[in-house]
Amino acid sequence: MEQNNILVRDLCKKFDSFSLDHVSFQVPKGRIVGFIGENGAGKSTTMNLILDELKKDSGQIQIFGRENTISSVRENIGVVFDECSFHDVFNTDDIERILSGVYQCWDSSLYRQYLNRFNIPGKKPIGSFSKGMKMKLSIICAMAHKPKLLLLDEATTGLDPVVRDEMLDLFLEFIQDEECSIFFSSHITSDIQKIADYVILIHQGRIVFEEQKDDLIYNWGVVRCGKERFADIVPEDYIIHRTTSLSVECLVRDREMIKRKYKNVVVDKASLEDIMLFYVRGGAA
Amino acid sequence: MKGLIYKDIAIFFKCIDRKMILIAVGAIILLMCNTGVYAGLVASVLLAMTIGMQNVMSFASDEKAGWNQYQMALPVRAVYVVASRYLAVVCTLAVSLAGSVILNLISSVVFRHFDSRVWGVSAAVSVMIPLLWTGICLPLTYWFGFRSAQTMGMIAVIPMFYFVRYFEDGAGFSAMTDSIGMYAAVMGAAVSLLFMVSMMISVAGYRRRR
Repeated sequence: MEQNNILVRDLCKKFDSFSLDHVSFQVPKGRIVGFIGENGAGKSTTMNLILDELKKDSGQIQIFGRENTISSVRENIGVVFDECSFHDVFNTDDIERILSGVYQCWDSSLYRQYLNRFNIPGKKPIGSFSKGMKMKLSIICAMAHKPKLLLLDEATTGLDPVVRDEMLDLFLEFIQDEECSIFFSSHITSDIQKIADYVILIHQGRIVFEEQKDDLIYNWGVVRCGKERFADIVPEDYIIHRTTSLSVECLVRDREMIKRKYKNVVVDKASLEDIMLFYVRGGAA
Repeated sequence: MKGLIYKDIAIFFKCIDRKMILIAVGAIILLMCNTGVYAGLVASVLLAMTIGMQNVMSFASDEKAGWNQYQMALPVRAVYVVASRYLAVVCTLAVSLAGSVILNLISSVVFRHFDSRVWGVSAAVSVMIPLLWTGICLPLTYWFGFRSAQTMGMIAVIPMFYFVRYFEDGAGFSAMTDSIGMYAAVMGAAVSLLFMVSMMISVAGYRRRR
């Protein structure tokens, strides 16, 4: 039985000024996979390729074990982009009429339930909604046909912390049955840190790592020391280092090992943001 | 597909530009005053043009809302996405036809003149013009974007202008032969064919953009 809801192998796509280079990863069932990277790293391109909105040059994309180009595959996918895609003149009733005529499994009672839960008005035009309400509606619409996979492309960007938290709770509820999964692309690493099980970092069109989030948060660390002390640290013990005018910072895989091995160095926990910055900015301070 | 047809029809009605309606109403009244017993026919032409234009305008609102990207993520095949838009255009013909009947009725009452041929030709053009308009503009939109369709829409106004002039200054409807019914039938068949071919070109354009 298929263990992954998404399987991407050696995916390549070349543009004039950017290329996606042999991207491989998977989104297991019942898991939330965070896809992080700076703007222009290739997150949205990857997302568009998964949705077959762009044609790949080479590689393999499977969703639920089937080719992503099969239209019926999308019946079980819910998609949320960074902007609400519904016309301002529509209201939530119009959206229901549209999407219930598109999705075979559209659940009107679930839709109404979500609208009530998140206080989305039924008769007001979407154009009068706040950004937060529009994004809530987009997320509700992505979930009201009971998909097995949610693809979120910067879906929480621009939301205030309260709305973001509500949405993150909803995502956690969504994966409870162990069959559903979420592929969540964002450059807001705090959201990923809060809910993801796995984290994939993409940089300049290449996958830098695909790791368990807990491993990153509990094992990885940032060493801070003076330049003289840094000379004692073996290069194999750290991944990347950056030098400031006063000190040196190193990203390490095993925080506890470093603590044991090197005395008199400060070893802090590494947040996803720290890790991303180390990889993206490299040795630059 | 049912949902997409609903969406297109709903946009057609909800996105009606008040300014465009005011201009169209003003132009229709002006034409009705100038064209005498052919007022119903000429006004029907103008209404049909407005409906054709409105159908193309709804595409612009899709682009503005970012719907096109969202639509590609829906479980609907390219052919059904395009077909739903063409079917929505066909549904809006009812508005054009109803408008033509009302305008001809007003004209017949005001000028105390009833000519079944004028009514027939009005009905035919009220169906054919939106089909022709969208049949030309929609493939352009699917292939080259909304702006190209807008430009083409402007160009399409020119023959319509001469058509109106024909009734205002020329020999008018009386110079038309008795075989106008046959011409209308041939034109109808040609427009229907164009509409079908247009849909196929649009499907190819949608797939290419995808």
